[in-house]
Amino acid sequence: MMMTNDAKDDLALEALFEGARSDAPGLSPDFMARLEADADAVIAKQTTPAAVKTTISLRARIAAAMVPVSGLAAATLAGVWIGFHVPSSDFADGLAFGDSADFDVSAFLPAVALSGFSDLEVDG
Amino acid sequence: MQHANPEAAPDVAPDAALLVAVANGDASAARVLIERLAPRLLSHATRVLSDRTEAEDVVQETLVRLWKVAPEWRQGEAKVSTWCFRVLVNLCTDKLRARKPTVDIDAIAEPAADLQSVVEQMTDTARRDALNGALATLPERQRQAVVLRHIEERSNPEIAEIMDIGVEAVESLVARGKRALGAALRGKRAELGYDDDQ
Repeated sequence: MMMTNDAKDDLALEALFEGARSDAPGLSPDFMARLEADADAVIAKQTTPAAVKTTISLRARIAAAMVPVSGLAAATLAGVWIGFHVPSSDFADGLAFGDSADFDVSAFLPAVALSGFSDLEVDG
Repeated sequence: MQHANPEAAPDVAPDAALLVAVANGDASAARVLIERLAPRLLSHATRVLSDRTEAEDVVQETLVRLWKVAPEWRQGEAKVSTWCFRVLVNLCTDKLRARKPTVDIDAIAEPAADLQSVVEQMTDTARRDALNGALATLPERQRQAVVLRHIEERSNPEIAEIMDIGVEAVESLVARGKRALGAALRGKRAELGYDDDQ
């Protein structure tokens, strides 16, 4: 059975492509050396003290931005803890702390939340 | 199974993990990436540009851009190799558009020696020259798409990402490119040793 021109073209093309796939050009030692020198130069530039300082500064800003978030999260967790750990069915009794009506609200907050708020005051 | 820690097994670490190591100042990770990426990038650039020196230049520029982007690399957004091919394709496009179209398929595809007497020797070199010569006659976008699809064996969706076009446009470019290649090579088929009715 005779093949059509298109089929012959596809056959020829596929054989050519297959040959090309196994015929990738190699890297010369000189070219490899240039590529490695480029990498070394860029890496050295990016890891200079100035570049590292920029990175730390960015991290510090992100950490500072997280402080109010962590304080709010701690306060929320404290509220949830109170809700689940009140021994009596009378919620008011749970908040009364015995006979005293005066209490420090910070007693509900873990240390991390307080430090977060104090940082906020310093920053602000 | 791939190892995530490039320091433990750099040869099998994912490209993205190696790039993070590069961002942290690890030059050995950069060397592994060079060995992994550069041959494929150079292969594509050489076929598209038909000029080894220019091909090396665009590969070099592509990798420099990769090292520079390493500290800001966002994991999971793109494959490192896809990103590199995208940069490379654009650099090749710039090079090609700066040229005048001077390619002559007959001048390139015709082997210099007498085909009748060197049929056995003709195979690899002549076929490679014929393919490269025919590729050089294609419009730039078709050429890049055909090489990515049929020589680099990239998927159509990945080529779409590399070339910043839709998958249907890729299919169209590849199909038209193959037809044009076939037309360019049809007259050479016998010389290339593919003329049997198989």
